[in-house]
Amino acid sequence: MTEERAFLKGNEALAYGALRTGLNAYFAYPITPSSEIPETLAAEWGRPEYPAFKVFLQAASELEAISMVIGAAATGAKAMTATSGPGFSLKQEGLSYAAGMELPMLVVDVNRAGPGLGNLGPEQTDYFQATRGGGHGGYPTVVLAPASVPEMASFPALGFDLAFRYRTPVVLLADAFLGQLKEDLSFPDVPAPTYDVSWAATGARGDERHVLSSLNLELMDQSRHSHHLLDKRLRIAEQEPRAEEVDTDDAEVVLVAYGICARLARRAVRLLRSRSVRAGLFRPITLAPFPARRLRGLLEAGRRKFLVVELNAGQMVEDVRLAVEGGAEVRSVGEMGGLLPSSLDLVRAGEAMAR
Amino acid sequence: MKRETIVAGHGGQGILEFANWLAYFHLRQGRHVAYTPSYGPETRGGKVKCYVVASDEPIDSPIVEEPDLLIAMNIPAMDWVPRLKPGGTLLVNSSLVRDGPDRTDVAVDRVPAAELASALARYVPEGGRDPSIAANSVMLGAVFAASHEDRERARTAVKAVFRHFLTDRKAAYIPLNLHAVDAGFELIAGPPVPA
Repeated sequence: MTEERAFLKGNEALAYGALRTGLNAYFAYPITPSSEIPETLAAEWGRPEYPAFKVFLQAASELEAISMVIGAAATGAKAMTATSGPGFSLKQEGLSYAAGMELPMLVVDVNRAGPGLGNLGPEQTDYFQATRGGGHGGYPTVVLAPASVPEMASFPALGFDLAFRYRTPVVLLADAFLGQLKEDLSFPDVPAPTYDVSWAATGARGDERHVLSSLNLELMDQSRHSHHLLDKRLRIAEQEPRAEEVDTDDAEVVLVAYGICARLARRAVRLLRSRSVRAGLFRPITLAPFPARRLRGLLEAGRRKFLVVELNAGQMVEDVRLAVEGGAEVRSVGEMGGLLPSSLDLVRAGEAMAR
Repeated sequence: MKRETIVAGHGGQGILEFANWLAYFHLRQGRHVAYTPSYGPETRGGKVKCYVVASDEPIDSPIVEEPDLLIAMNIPAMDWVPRLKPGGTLLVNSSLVRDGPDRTDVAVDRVPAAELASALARYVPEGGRDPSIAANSVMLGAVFAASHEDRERARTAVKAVFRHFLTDRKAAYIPLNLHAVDAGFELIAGPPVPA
């Protein structure tokens, strides 16, 4: 660590990460605990360091913001919006349209606690809504789960890469803890990539006509389109699952956790090992597509006990159970309401499982 | 090296500013840092608490459960005393907290932060604020001394910290804050030995 490192909140790091990967347009409707994202982007708008960042617009509602993202994305722009649970619900309609229109975009959800307004603490209760496609009609989503401030900074590039390569909306699912956490980081010095946007609607100018729509009144047209979206979902599931493993080689208990819980679980793995429990960590980086085959591989390599740590009543645990298909013992531990499980909670649960 | 700190007090005491300075100080020493703020919706007077983890190794969990160091800036902050690691250090803002902790297995330093800061009125820019606003900088100096940081290295690093955070109108307060850091350091470590 010799070079000068930055020291930023997760939300700020995410904003700078988006700028450095060539963000063109941001449409804001601020909500705690995500508001540092629009704050940072508003402050940076117009600076010569970010010539690609053309538009920062404060919308009158979340519905307006996501619709603006649709409009910008239809022109091939790198467009983004960010919110928290209450706003993420409102953006689901737009996400459904964007998926139907096959528009690349980045939608950030900094998960706060509880249904309705809840509170401003961290939870992971939006897992189902994000990974299953919270809007209507059945559509593929890609969901990325950062677990640190450096990943809050680097995942916008990954998100836009997947979004443009597959022409799909990508959700970046963070939580209130990661949004407010400050850590040291450095930004990789890589040029902002460009993508093929020959499909985009960029104005007539004598070009061929590009129609971007999710409306297919002819049954056969919609059937073809639905199968095309399914094929895309399968290709993504085949090629894009990502996960990190720590000490899984000899683990008698594998903790499965994402986001801030992965950090808690990492400490719990260390504590469990100091108490002679061979623990490991499996951290999904893509929640959708879920890295099921890799988890299945752990099962086939002899891992038989999985302890899922989540800030909800048990959501990802369902994906873990689906992955192991009854071949392993799967238990769930967590907290809700903005609280976090203590190391002792996790160590006790791990020890109980190892016995 | 790994140090886990909790700093607690109320809104208006510069708790989060202090925690930012402390974290950035460690970052300037080449350490990894994690800073987790927690505060209520009030601008002044609400409970404020911050975790600061500094480590030569990458940090697994940023959550501090058993701090090596607790900085209690007001009476409610003493609620964290039971969490302090045995052998850990407690720095008490004795300007507001009269009673000591009911533990004998931790080192305790009492720092009259507001009084020490108030003695530095001559460094306040003309027409500026009451010098007691630098109480958090007094505490920062005390933390450096209690953590056995090298006096001159800490001094150099904290200058960079203040230049980073105290910009624009706040820049005029850098001398006050540097003297406040010195006062806190001296309280714990004694005056510098002349070369």
